[in-house]
Amino acid sequence: MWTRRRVIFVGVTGALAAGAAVVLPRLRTSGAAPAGAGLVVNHSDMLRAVALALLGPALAAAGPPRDAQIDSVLKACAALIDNLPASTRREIGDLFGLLAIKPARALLGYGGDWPGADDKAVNVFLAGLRESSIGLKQQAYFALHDMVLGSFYADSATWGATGYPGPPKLA
Amino acid sequence: MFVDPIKEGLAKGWLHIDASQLGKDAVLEADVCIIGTGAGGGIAADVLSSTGLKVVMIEEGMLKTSSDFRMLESEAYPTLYQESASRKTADKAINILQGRTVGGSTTVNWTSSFRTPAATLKHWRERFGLTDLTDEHMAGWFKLAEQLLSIADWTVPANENNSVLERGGQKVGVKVERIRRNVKGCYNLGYCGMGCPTNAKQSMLTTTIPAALARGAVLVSRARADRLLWQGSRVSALECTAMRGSGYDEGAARVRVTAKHFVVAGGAINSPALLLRSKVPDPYGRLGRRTFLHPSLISGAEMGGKVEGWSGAPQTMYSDHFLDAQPVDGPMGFKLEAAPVHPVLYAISVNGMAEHHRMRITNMTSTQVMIALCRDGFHPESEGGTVKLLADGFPQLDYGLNRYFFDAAKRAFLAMAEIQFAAGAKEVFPVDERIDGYRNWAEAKAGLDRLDLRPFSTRVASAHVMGGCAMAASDKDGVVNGFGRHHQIENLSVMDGSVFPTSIGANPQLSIYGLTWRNAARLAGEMRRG
Repeated sequence: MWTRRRVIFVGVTGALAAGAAVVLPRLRTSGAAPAGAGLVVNHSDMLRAVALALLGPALAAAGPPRDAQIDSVLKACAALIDNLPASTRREIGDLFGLLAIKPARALLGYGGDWPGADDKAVNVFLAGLRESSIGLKQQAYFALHDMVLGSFYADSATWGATGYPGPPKLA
Repeated sequence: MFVDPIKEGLAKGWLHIDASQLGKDAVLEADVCIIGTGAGGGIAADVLSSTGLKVVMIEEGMLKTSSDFRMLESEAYPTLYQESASRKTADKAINILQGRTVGGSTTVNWTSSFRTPAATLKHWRERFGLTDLTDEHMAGWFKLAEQLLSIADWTVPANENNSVLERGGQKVGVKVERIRRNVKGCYNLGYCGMGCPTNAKQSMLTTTIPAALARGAVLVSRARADRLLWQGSRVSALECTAMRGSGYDEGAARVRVTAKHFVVAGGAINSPALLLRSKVPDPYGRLGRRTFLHPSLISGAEMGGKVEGWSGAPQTMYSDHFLDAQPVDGPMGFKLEAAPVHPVLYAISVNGMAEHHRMRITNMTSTQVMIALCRDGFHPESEGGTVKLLADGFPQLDYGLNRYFFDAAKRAFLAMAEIQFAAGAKEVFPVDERIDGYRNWAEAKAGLDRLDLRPFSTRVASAHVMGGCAMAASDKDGVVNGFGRHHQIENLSVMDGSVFPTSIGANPQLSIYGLTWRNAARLAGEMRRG
C-alpha cells in the first residue's frame, strides 16, 4: 500500500538519483580518481564546517590554535583519501561534489552556505543524514564521521584529553 | 634494541623484490607461485619450500617488519590494512578489518587461536561432503601449527578490559574461558593490531615466510595479482601490476610469473576476485558466493574506574555460551570477546558527534569494549555475501544484514549489557546511533527490547572474512575440493580462509593454518612424485 511516508521516501530518493545523474556523470564509472590534496582543497569550506560541527568541544576556542587543529584534520583527510582505492576516492569525490552544489545539498538537508556556516545548523544537518532511512544519506554521514573523527584522534596532540598516554617506550 | 630478523635476513641475501622500485618489467619462474602471504600463503610457502620446491610469493601490500612497527594507528592503518582499515561492504553498513602487508592479517591480528570447532567440522562433513575433516584427522594438523607458532595457554593475568568479561560472566552464569595465543616472549603491550614491535607474535611474517626465504624462496611485495592466464584445464602464468606509494596507485612495471602450480591465498574477497578477473571456469556459479564475516556488534561500558583498554594482550577471554546454547543451524549464535581500545578505532566506532562523542572519548580510560561475533553461514537465512568486481576490477563484497541477523544482534546486545552491568558497569552503551547509554540492566533490557535494530544505525564490524571459494566434495557446491584443489583447473589451488564453506564460529587463523598445512603437504607430495 502506498502510504504518504512511502511516497515521500520515493520522491526524495528519486530526486537524489536524478540530481546525482546530472551532477555526477562520473558516478560508478572508471577514470582518473581524484587525489586527496585536490579534493580537500576544493572542498575545504565544507570540510571545515563539518569538522567544526562533528568535533565541537574537542576543539580549542575560535582562533589560530583551532584553525591549526582544523588544518591538521584536513591534511590527515587528504592523506587518508590517497591511501584508498580509486573507486572509493571517486565516491568521496562524488559526495563532496554533491555537497558543493546548493540545490543538491538542500535535498540532502542543508541549504545554507559553507563559509561561516552555523555549527548548530550543520549539526542538525548531520543528524538528519544519520537518522535518515535513505542509504545514501546514512553513507554520507558515516563517511564524514569516520574521516573527520578518525583523522583528529590519529594526532598525538589530541590524546591528552582522552587519557591515552600513547604507545609505551621500548628499551 | 630488538633485532629485526627479516632485515638481517635480507642483508644476508634473502630474495625480496619491492615491485614499486622496479625500473622495468620482471619475469619469474618457479615450481609454485603463491599469491598472498597471510595465514594460508605463509604456511603454504613454508611447507612447499621445505620439500625443495622453488617458491615465488606475490604480495600486494608492503614488506614492513618489526623495526617499522611504532605502535601508531596513523601509520599502521594506511600501511598494513586493506583500504586503510576502512574496507566496507557494498552498502557500507559493515566495516571490515583485513590485513594488506607481508604476513597478511596475521601481522595485525590480535593473536587469538582456536581450533575449528567440532560443530563446524560436523556441519561441513554433513552438508558439503567433506567427510575426511573429522576432529581426529584435523587434530594432528592443528598440533603441528600450534607447535610451530608457539600457540599455548596465556597465563599472564588478563587486562581489565578482558577481566570484565570474565567477572561479569561468572556473576550471570555464563562460562568464560581463556584464549590461547600465538606468542613467544610476549611483552603484553597491547599493540598486536599495529604490528608486533618485539617479534613476540608468531605471525607468518616472523615464522613461515623467513623460513621459506632462508630456503631460497622469492618474495615480491607491492605487486597486485591481476589475472591468471589459463587454457583448457591449466594455468600458465600470473600477471601482476607493480604498485607505487603505500596505497592503490599503479606503478609502471609489470611482473609475470610462470609456474607448474599456482596457489591462490589472497584471503576471502581478494582470492575470489582474482579468479573472477581471470574468468576461470565456474559452471555452477559458486565463485564469490557464500562469503562470511562473523558480523560483530560492539558494546561499550563505563566502568567508573581505570580500564585502559589499550594496554595488555588485547584478547585473552572469550565465551562460547551463546554459540552452544542452540544448534549450529538454529537461531544465529555468537561468541563474546573483548576488543582493544585505541583512539582512532574507538573514535570511529563510538556513536554520536560533538558533545556526546567528546564525552565518550574523554572517558576512554574507564571504558570497556565487548564484542559479539555472530556465526554466519549455517542457516538457510544466512547465505553470506557475494564478491563482485567493479568496472576497474576492484572487488566489492555485497553482504546484506537481514532479520535473522538482527535477531541475534538484539540477543547479543542484551547478553553483553547484562555481563557488563554484572561486572560493575555504571553505564552501558551498545553501539547504535539511537542509544545514548543505559544506567542499569533493567533500563538496558527495556530499551533494547523496544529498539528495532537496523543497518547503519546499529554499527556492525568484521575482522574475519571467510568463504567465496568454498570447498565442497561436489563441483556443484563449491569452487575447490576438500584439498583446496580447483574443481575445473588442475594446477590451481586455493589455500586461505576463502575455502571455508561457512564461517568458523571462532577467530579463524588456526583453522587456516591447520587446513593449509594438510593441503599443502598433499600438494607437495603430488608434485614431488611428478
